[in-house]
Amino acid sequence: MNHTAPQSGSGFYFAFGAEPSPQTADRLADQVMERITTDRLRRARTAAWLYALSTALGAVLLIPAISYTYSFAVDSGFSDYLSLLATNGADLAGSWKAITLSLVESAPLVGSVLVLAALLVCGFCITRLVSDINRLKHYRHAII
Amino acid sequence: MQSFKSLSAAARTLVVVCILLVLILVFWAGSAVGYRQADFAFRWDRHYGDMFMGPGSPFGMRPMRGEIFQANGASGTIVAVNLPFIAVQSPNQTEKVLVVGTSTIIRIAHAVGSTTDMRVGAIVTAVGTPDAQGRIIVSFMRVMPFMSASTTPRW
Repeated sequence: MNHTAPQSGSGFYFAFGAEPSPQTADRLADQVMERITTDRLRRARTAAWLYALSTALGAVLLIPAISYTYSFAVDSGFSDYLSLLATNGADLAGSWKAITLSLVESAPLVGSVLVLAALLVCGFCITRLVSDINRLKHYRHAII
Repeated sequence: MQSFKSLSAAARTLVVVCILLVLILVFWAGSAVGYRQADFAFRWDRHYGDMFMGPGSPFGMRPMRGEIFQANGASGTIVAVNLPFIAVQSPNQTEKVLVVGTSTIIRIAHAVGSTTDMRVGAIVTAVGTPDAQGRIIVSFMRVMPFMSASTTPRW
């Protein structure tokens, strides 16, 4: 490390009354860096746990959301209209307005929004979790 | 977000206006569809007694269940046939009356069908337009072949 003499207004100079030796300064810098890395490691670990829990929560919510959407689509006839469109699409040319309105009226909008929200939460949390795990590995490496 | 900030003021205004237009369109479509559904549900409810218990039924108006349902289609099991009227019960236990006319296209899967193919227990999917009596004038109907609600699952 390249050490320069402290300025007359330096806190270290006033506190200890002498210029620190290069070894002391190195040790101090190492201790500070270790402290910072340990603190970052702790924060990354907490964040990783939180994201892991959020991912699990999102996955748990995803199951009833899909189940609700599916049962709504069956009960409202949405799946039947889709099937009608897929199998008899050519015959429905004259009834395009009726089939479009039927699909819109029976669409499981709330369920779709719930599924989409759960998927977004899961996707976001998994991305952040992977990033935090990589950071954890990096900090552990730095401490060792 | 960064790319949005890098746009010029005019382009940003245009993007915001487009988003607002899409939101207004979605809101308008939701209101229009909801109004049609509510109108159909009201008419269906008002004529429920006449449709299912005969004209002048003492039960008359059926208590509203506070729900709205599709006005342009029905899918479910045929519970009664009295041509040109067909009563269909949906999986959510709602009965609707379908009116089958000469212009109605009937299919048994892909094959051409007729009104004689409509029997109690058959599974149908129909689309059409609602009338003032809370019925649906069917323009297209598909009858699922060899299926009965009591013996075969719907999927």
